[in-house]
Amino acid sequence: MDMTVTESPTSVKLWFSERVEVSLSRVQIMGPAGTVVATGRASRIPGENEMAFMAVVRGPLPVGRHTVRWTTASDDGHLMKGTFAFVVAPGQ
Amino acid sequence: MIDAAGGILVVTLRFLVLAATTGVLGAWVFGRLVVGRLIGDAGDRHRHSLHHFSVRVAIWCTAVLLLSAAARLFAQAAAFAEPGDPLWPSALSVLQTRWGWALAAQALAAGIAGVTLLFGRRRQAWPRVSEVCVAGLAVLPAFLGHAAAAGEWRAFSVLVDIAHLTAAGSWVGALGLLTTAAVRDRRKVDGSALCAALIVAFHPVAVVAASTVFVTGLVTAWLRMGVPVGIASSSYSGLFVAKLLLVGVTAALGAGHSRQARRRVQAVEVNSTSRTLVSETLLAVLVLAITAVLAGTDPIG
Repeated sequence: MDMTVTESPTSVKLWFSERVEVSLSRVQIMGPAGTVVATGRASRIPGENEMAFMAVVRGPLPVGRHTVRWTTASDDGHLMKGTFAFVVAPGQ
Repeated sequence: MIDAAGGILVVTLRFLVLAATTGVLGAWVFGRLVVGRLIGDAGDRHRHSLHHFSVRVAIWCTAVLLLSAAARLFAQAAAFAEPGDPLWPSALSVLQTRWGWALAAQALAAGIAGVTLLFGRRRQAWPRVSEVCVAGLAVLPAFLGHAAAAGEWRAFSVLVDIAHLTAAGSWVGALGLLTTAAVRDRRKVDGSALCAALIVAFHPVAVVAASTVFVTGLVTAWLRMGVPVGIASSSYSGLFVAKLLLVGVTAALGAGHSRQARRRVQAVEVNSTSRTLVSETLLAVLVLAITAVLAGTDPIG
């Protein structure tokens, strides 16, 4: 089930069970209309180990369902990718 | 299974890199430790030509290794590039990773080894620079795969992987050269005596290398999967068991030649011996192919 947030997120953070290569990581957010939302380059999460990375979301996201597509590389060079979704609901 | 290991192109490139590395290591072992230990008249007569044969094989293998390692680097960069984007930013990012520089170092070491062997091919010994590069080629693959990515026991895992590859390369590579030499020269007047001399000289190398392959292979299984918990519960463990069985059959065929070596036979029935040598080599190549898939498969998945 998709997670619901009531405020537009300012960043997307991903955690993994193994070390990942941030320099080869990418995050893409698809908005409700299928348009790509601008995000910053993948970077380390301050204070976290090398098993996580984040991307800043540029500007507020519209209300609706958003899909996050991510790609990264494992420590042994394998391409890893996946998607998950979340919903931005109108604030209470 | 192939798709999970990275797709047919990546698996093929990984196999070529593995086979070429095995060929280079085997050529060095064959030239130094097998040809150098040849005894008897046939050994004396063929020593120089066999040395040059080992150098020629090494030159070809370094060329294949240079091209396939560079192609692997290119494929990795392409896999991480956005569609339509130029490749170079992704290539630069790949080179910042541990496995990226290990691939680049592999291509560089292969190139230097190949060039120094090419220019020094008429000498009676391998150039020292090429020997250093061959040593590098034995070490670098450990930084490309699961061993260097191990969460625990990383240094030990890398050392075991280096020992495994060195032993496997020495065994399978030198076996490939021995088989080629035996088949090529089987119709010569002293083909039977030469084949026997090669088997006797190869025997100690094969025993030490095969034993090391078995021990380090089992330690690797324990490090990756946990033994016996992981056996037969995933694609990785299924492939591992298949590899273990094939290595066992290869070693059983080798044991027949080993008996000839222990008796220090002066000559062998060259046609039947060539057939079993070819079978042993083909099985070993199949083991390399399985390893190419295994290296790209998630040990846990």
